[in-house]
Amino acid sequence: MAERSRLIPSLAAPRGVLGPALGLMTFLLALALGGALGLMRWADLFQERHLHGMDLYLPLLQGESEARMEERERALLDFLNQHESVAAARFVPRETVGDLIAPWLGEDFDAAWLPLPRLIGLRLRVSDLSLRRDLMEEIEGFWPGASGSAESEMAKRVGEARTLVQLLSAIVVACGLFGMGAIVILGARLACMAHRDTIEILLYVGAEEGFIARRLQSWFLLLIFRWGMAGVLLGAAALFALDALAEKAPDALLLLWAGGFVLEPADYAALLLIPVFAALLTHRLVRYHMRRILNESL
Amino acid sequence: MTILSCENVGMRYGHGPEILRDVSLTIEKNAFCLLVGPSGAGKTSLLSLFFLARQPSRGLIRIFDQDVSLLPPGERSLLRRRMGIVFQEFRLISHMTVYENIALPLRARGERQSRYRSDVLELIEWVGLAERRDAYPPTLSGGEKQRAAVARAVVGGPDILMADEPTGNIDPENAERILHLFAEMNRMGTSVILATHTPSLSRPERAAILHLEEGRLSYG
Repeated sequence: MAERSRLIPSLAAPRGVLGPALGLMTFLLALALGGALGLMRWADLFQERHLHGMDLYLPLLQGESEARMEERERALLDFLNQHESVAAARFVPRETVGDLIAPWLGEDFDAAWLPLPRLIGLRLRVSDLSLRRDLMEEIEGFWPGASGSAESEMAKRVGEARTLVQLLSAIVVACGLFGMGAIVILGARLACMAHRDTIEILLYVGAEEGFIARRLQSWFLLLIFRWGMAGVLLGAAALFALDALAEKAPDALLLLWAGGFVLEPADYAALLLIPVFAALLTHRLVRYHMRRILNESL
Repeated sequence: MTILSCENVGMRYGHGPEILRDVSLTIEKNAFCLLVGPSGAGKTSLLSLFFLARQPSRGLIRIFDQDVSLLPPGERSLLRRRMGIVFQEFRLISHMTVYENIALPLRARGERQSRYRSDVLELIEWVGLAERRDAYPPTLSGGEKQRAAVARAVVGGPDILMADEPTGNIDPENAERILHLFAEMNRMGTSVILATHTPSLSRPERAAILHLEEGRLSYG
């Protein structure tokens, strides 16, 4: 004799569509959520790098010996490193400046012949950013003609870009959640409609609403977990591949992402929340739809 | 003891015309009623009111001394457990075997299979479906489906049994067996309402005949 079968079959009409649709939505939502997390992290890193950073150009001082200049440079560096507004200060190697301008000067360029300014990379403390002007005045006093790079404009742009990224990420995630919610709502409704006859019969033979709802819920939860997990795993794999690609191809289109699009294990774990979210939503919805359908038919 | 009563009951689907008009009747315990009338007279609609599938548009229905319009959903399921229903179109669940379909009312009540299995198997044998107990409804003939539906209706030992054209799709011999089963259940205390458009079918001597025509009920 056959074993006790499930009261709710697996499944009638929506079976062929509902599961894959849920899987696809979960996959897309995982990509959206992972992409958004990656973008946010990239924006944070980018801002960290540029918003609070500043390049300090020290012109060559006429009439001073190189030894004297080096002494003054070190004294300035010590001063900066002890300054309360400065988180870190270090010399930027001269080659960097040479490399920077070499492409414009052609193959015969010899950096040693150029009177290059000394460059110090500064990282300022976030809380003291407003003191940037005061700091520059102090540096001017220490080293006449010293100038800071136009970081404030850059900072403003990065700040705007970061806001834009946050907004886009929020929109992408909201769209993903909305799509997922729509699929779950539609799926719950379709599933209840597909089982309408079974639900009615169970009701007529004396089953309580809660009894039927629990079975529908468990059926739907199983479907969501099965397809949702598949979607999440696929999404995680795609994000992992993207992450790896970003690291390996810094010169490619993904340049901006390189080193920024880094998903931590915690981010991957967060993706697991998608099927959980869908399952919770379904749990609430199935009984509601079942009641609604019963009210329509009874 | 009154099992079921209704007073001036009317029923309509949506905003359509009344299907049932001023239906009043009382069914006592152990009664055997034949609800006869042509197709479209409202027999199925009247039965649907009795097994709480629909609400009357007016009038009062009392089942087991309870006003059904005041029943909360939980009470409705308890009330339905005291009823057995045979649907005109059988309404067997297609993904369940004959055995599972017949055992469904007991399972829905939360009873354990170990307790009801032998009773269900005995009933399956009695209705002549022993060879088909593991078959699925789509593979059954009309008569087999009918017998499975009847077995499902009686398996829980209902206080009232309602059947809509229970012999409509089966051969005379099996129809006789089904009617004998109903009569036997009636003899043991179950009230029976049979809706049919063939009043000539064999029935207990004391069976009451209710005529339903164009939504109005009259006693035969």
